[in-house]
Amino acid sequence: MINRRNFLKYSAAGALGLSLRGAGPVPIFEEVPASVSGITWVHDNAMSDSRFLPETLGPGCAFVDYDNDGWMDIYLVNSGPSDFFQPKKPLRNALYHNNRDGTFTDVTEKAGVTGGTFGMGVAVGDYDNDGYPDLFVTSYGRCILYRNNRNGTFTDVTAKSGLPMGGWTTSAVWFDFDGDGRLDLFICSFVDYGTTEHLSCGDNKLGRQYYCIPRVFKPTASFLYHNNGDGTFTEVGRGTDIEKALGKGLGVVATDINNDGRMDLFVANDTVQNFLFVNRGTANGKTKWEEIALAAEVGYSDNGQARSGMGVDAADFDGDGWQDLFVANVDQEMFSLYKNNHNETFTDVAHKQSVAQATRLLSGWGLKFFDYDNDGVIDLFLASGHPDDMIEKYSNQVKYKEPLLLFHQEAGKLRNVSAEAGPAFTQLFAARGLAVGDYLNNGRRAVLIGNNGGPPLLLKNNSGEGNHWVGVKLQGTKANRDAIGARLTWSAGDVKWSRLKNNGGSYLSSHDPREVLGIGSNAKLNWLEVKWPAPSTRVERFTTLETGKYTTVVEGSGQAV
Amino acid sequence: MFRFLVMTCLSAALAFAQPAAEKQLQQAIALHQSGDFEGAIREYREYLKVRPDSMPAHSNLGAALAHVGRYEEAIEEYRAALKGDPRNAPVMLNLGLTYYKTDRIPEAAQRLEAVAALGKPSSQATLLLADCYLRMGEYQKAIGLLSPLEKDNAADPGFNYLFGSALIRGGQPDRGGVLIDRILRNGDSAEARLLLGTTKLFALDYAGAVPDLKRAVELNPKLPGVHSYYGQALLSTGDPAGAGVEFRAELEQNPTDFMANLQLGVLAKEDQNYAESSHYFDRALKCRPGDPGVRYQVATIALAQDKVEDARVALETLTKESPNFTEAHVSLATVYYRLKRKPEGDRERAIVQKLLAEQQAKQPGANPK
Repeated sequence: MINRRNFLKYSAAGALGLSLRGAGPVPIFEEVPASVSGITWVHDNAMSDSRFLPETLGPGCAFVDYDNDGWMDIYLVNSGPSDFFQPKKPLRNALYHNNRDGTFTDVTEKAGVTGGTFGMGVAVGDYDNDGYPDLFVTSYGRCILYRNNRNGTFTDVTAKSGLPMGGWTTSAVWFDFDGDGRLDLFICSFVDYGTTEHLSCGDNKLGRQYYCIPRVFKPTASFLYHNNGDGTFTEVGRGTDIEKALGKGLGVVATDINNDGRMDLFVANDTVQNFLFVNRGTANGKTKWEEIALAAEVGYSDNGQARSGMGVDAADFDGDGWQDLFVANVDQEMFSLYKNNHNETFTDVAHKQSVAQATRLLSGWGLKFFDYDNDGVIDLFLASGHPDDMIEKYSNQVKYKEPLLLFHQEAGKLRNVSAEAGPAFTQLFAARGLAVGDYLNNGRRAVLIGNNGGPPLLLKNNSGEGNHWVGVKLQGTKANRDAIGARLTWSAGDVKWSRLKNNGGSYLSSHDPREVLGIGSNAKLNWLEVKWPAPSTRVERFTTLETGKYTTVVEGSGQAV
Repeated sequence: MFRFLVMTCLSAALAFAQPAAEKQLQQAIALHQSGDFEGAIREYREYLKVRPDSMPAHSNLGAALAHVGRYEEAIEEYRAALKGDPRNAPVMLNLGLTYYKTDRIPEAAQRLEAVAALGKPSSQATLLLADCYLRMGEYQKAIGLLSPLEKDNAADPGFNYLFGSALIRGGQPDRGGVLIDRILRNGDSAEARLLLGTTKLFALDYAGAVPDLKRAVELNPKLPGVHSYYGQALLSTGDPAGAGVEFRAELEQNPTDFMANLQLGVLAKEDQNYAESSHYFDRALKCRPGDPGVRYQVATIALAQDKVEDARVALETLTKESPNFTEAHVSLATVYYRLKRKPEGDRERAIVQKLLAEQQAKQPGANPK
C-alpha cells in the first residue's frame, strides 16, 4: 500500500534516478511534488465575485529547451493586470531551468519572460530559424512575442512584429502553411468580451454571479499570420475562410488531414461548430483555405448541435497512415474521437473506443495522443476540470475538479487504465493546459498540467519497462528549423511505424518538440526515414541512430531515398 | 363513469332485441350484470352471429371486453357499434376511454373532442380530455378547456393538480402557483411536490427541482409522470444513469409516456444502441404522432446507420415543415455531402449559418460595449 509518506519517498527517489520497484507498485505516472521539483510557482486565476470569464480559462504551460542545452525547461503562464483585474501583488509567468537532476530553478526574471498581461497560453516555435525556441504568449489583452536572444534571455518584440495587440487570444500554433521554410502563426481568438464593461451572468437563487456560458458572447475570427522572414508578420487570414468563419476558438492543431503534404488546421470552438481549415495550396502568394468541418463531419455532434470544444489533438492513432482528430468537450457532451475516412471525412468512434462513456461527466482541456510506454502504438492522456466553480450547486454528478484519464491502446482499442495508473489518477484537478515532455531525457515523457488557481502538476513517467526507444530532434535546413510537417517512418524488427510531426494541439500549451520513437521490445532501430516538409520535400534515411538516447537529425545529412 | 355507460347500453340492448334472439341476449346481459364477463362475452358473440349489425350488442360486448382488460378487442366492438350510430356519445366516450387506457392518447383525444362537439360533455370527460392534452404537450388547449371549470372545482385537489400542471407546463407559473397553494393547504402531497418540481424544471432550476421531485416519488411512486419528471431533473443535473432508472420506472406504469420514451431513446442513441433507441422513439411517436423532435432523432439514427436515403427523405420533410429547425438543416447538409450533392449541402450549410447568426444576435452579449 502506498501511503503519502511512501509516495513522496518514491517521488524523491525517482527524481534521483533510483529504483524502488521492490518497495511496492510503481505508478505509471507519479506526481513530483514541488518540494522535489523546485517548481513553487502557483497560478492566480484572479477569481472575483463578478466571475469574469477569463478567470476560468487559464493557464497554459510548455516544455521548452530555451537555452538549447538538450534538457527540457518549463514555462508557465499566469494571469495579470487587465481591465477587470488589478492584482494586489505583482503576478508573473514562470520559466524554470532544468537542473538535469529532476529539479528546476526559477530563471524568469533573468530571462525576461515575466509576462505582465492576463496570460492564457504559450506557443513555442523557432520562428527566426536560429536554433533557439521563441515564445508567443496569448492573453486576454495584449499578446507577447518573446524572441530568444540565444543567451538565456528573451526580448519582447511584439510591437514591431505586427502581431495582434488586443482581443482575447487562447491557443496558438506555429506551422509553415506555405512551405517557405519559415514558421507562420495561427492564433485562436475567443469571444468578443467587450471593452469597457463586461456582461455578467448571475443566479438570483444563489444571489451570486457565475461564469457566463460563452454562448452569450459574440464569436470572432481567428488570425493567421505569415512570417515575413524579417521578424515581422503579416495577417493573411483576411478574405479567406479563416476570417469568414466566426468562432470561439480554444484549441488548435496543425496537421495534414488529406496527406497532400500541406498543413491544415483543426480548431475546437466553444459553443460554436469546430472548424477544419483545409490548405488548398498557395498560388501567386496567396493560400486558399477551405473550411469543411460540416462536410467532414467534425463540426457538430450527431444531433446536429455545436458542442463546447476546448482541447484538441491530431494523430494517426490507428496506424492507417491518416491523421485522426480529437476534441475534448464539456460535460454531458462527451469527447469526440474522429477517425479519418481517407476522403476528407471522419467518423466519430469515441464510443467504440470507450472514450465517450468515460468522459460523459468531464469537461476536457489539455490532452495528448502519445505512446507513453514506447510500445509503438499511440495512447491518450486527458486532463479535465469544469469551468464553473459553482457547478456542484447545480449538478449532482459533475464536479468542479475532475480526474485525469489515461487510455492505453491494446489491439486497436483504447483501454481506460486510469485506475491502475497511480495515485494522481485518484485525485481531482481544475486542469487546463497540458504539455508532454521528457525532462529527464530517459525516453519516458512526463506530463505537465496547468491547474486553474493552483500549482502545476508534474507527473513523472515510470512506464515502458522493457521497451526501447530512439529520440530524435529534427532540424530543418531548407525546411522550417523545427521541421513541423515532417513525416517520420521507422523500422525495428519486422515492424514499421510512421508519424507526422504535427504541432499545437492540447490546450494553451506546447509540448517537447523532440520525437520519441517507441520500438517496443526491439533492441535496435533498423532505420528512420524523414520526409522533410517543403520547400525541399526530400526524403532521407538514417541508419545509425542509437536506442536509448536523443540524436539531432539534420536535413540533408541522411541518405537520399 | 365506465359502469354507468355500460348499464345504459344494457338497457338499450334489451329494447332493440328481437324475439327470436331475445333469450340469448337476455342471457348475455344477465351474465354481464352478474359479473360473469367471460360468459357474457361468449353470449354476446353468439348473438352477434345472428344479429351482426346490433349496435347495442357490439357496445355491450365492448364494455365486457374492456372490463376484463381485452382493450384491443373492445375497441373493435365500439368501432363496430359506432358504424351503426356514429353520433352515439356514450359509445364514443367509452371508445375514447379505452383508447386512453391503452395509451393511444391522440386517438383518445380525438374521440373525446368528438364527444364534446356533440354537446355539453360531463366534467369527467372534460378532465379526461384535458389530461390527454397534457400528455400530448398541448398545454394551451388544456388550459383553455379547464379555465372555465376553475371556479366550480376550486376545492377539488384532482382538478387543481391537473389545471396546475397545465398552467406550469404551459408557461404560466404564477397562475400555477396559486393552484399549488390550494393543494398544499391539505398538507404535503405527491401532487404538490410534483407541481413544485415541474415549476422549477420549467424555470430551468434543475438542481432545485430534484428534491421536490424525489419527494414526490417517495410520496406516491404511482403518480403519473412523477418518475418522468424526476428523471428529467436528474438528467439535467448530470445524472444520466439515475435518470434512466426513473424513466424506466415511469414506463413500467405508463408505457407511452412521451418524455420517458424520448429521453430513453436519446440515451440509447448516445450509447449507439440504435435498436433500443428506435423502440423508444416509436413509442414516443405513438403518443405524439409527427413530433418533429422525435422524427429528427429517428432521422439521425438512419444517418448513423448509413441509411442516407431514409435520412434524406425524413430531413427534407422536416426542414420543409420546420424551416428554422437548425439541427435538421445541419444533418441534411451532412446527408447531401455524403451523397456527393455538394451544391445542396452548401445550400443547407448557408441556411445553418444564417439561423445560427440569428440566434447569436439574440444573445445578451451580442453587442458588447
